[in-house]
Amino acid sequence: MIDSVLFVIGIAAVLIGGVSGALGTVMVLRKRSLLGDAIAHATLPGVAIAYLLFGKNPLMLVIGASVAGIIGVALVVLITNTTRLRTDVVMGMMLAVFFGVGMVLLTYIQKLPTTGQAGLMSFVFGQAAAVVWDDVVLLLVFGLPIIGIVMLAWPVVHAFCFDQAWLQARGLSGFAVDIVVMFLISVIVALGLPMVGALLMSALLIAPAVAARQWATSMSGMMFLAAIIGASCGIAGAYVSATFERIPTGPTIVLLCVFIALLSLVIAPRWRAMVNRGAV
Amino acid sequence: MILFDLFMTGVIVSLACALPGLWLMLRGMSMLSDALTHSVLLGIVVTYLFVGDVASPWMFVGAVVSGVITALFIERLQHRKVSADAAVGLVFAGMFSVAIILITQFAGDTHLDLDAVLLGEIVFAPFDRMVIAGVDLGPRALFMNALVFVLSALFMWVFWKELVFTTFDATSAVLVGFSPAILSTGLVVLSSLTVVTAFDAVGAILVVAFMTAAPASAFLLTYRLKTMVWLTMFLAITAALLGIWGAMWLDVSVSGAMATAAGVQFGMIWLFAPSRGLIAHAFERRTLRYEVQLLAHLMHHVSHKHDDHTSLAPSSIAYVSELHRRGWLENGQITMAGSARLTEVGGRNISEA
Repeated sequence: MIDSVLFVIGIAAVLIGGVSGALGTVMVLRKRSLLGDAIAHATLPGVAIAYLLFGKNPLMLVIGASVAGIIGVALVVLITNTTRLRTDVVMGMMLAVFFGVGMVLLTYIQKLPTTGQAGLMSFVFGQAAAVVWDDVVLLLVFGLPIIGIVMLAWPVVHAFCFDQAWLQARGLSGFAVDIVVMFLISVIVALGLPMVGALLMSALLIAPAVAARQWATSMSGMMFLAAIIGASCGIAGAYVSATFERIPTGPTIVLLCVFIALLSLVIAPRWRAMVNRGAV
Repeated sequence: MILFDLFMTGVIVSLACALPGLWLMLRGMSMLSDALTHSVLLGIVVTYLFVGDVASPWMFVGAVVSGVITALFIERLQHRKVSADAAVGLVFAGMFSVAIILITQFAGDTHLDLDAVLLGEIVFAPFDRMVIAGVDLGPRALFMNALVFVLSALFMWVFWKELVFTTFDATSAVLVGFSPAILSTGLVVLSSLTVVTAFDAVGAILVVAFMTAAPASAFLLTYRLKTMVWLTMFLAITAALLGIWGAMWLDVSVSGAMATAAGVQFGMIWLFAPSRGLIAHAFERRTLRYEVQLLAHLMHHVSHKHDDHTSLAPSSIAYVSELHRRGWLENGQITMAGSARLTEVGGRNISEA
């Protein structure tokens, strides 16, 4: 008989890791890796405001987080387009300022006389033990369809990464696709917050994709591999964190992903060289 | 007195971060400030586990070593065809994760807990005094950050020429024999020092806000480098004061409020800056469009005989009356079929257009 708590955590970890690994592929190929970081940090004030308005309702927290993430990205894009500032400085500023706003709101909430606010801080670093069945339902309802959307719109997603001219020829603007992708990223980031946390969620998007890129020869292969890596790191990290004492979940999952990515960066070129020599 | 110390510490922390942040921004290295603040934490934690004292000078060694390692690592990764932003994301996430796991493992030690990492302890800063030979020099955080600020200012003052040259014309600088790499390394070392001193007061992540917001705001206000340096410092001070005041008023996290104030200040400047703000810009564009339309009408009247025109659109009438008001047309009126003659001013405006 499987322990039901571990079962819930396991399913959530697989779903989060898999979906964010797959979506991260698009981010990495479009060289947008740090935008995911900006989105993840920007979600915090959304979580806090949703809590203030609706209490600890998982659905509302996810919606609040996504909306805040989208506002954060929109501001980054708007500021870079209307000033001479480079994207990196705007992004750095936005993520830190939104994080600051989130911290202000969270410290405000902690002073409120109501109960139940203790769990909110786990949105910063993630806490596998805090994941409940409701979160899994949310992941199934909002997370899995993201994969479906990507598969249905595969030619568009593929062209978005490699062939913007094709998009224009089909009458689609790259900007519109960009917005949809950012929206999907915000949703998965928001869904991943309880488990992985706002600070490291972006790494769960990037690291599996970077690792997969070293091995895959096609975009679909890369996305599939990234999803597998994300899902297995997710479940391994969540399991380690839930079993041993005082091991934070988010950092453990991310550390596993980064380790695999760095390992792939070192091994993959040598492996290819061996294959080319016919040694394998 | 405690209040005064708190305000002073906030201002100095904000100043100390803004100065290296400005140069990182100008050199297109802002991503590094993001990565450094996360990865320097690992240096701090590891050194702390060995030394067991947050005030030890070894902390600086640990922080600088981890900062330089980060910079080198990112550069190495880029040679492996990982794009710069993915490289930054990987490196800081990895080092930050290790740091957080270590902190959680050894939690229970008073000085390094997760709250301190996130928010710092600026509220307690006034109580931790720097006493040398029996003389109270002020809060330790204030003293250390002031020291780093002076160091940054000295670095900027001594290497001003080299910084400007390598930042704005790297190619010529290399040809003449200046090395941008040496100055970049200097900046990385300075930034690591800044992060490790500011970390105690405001936490690891919010440092990024102080390293980017004030320089970015100053960047919107001026093109002149020296003005930009002074403006950066001025805006760093005002953001800190506003933030601390707001935090006391609402009784919330001081460092979070300082970051919020820095962001709000940037937003205000972005919207309302005199010549490059969003609103001024939109207004200017509208005026410009109006001028262009006026001139187009003027040209139309000069080049056409208007034989086929039976009526003028209401908008046209508005333009024509504006042309009259400005004295660009000679006739008191324009007949529906006739052309207007230009005055000297009107002619000059046409040829300029």
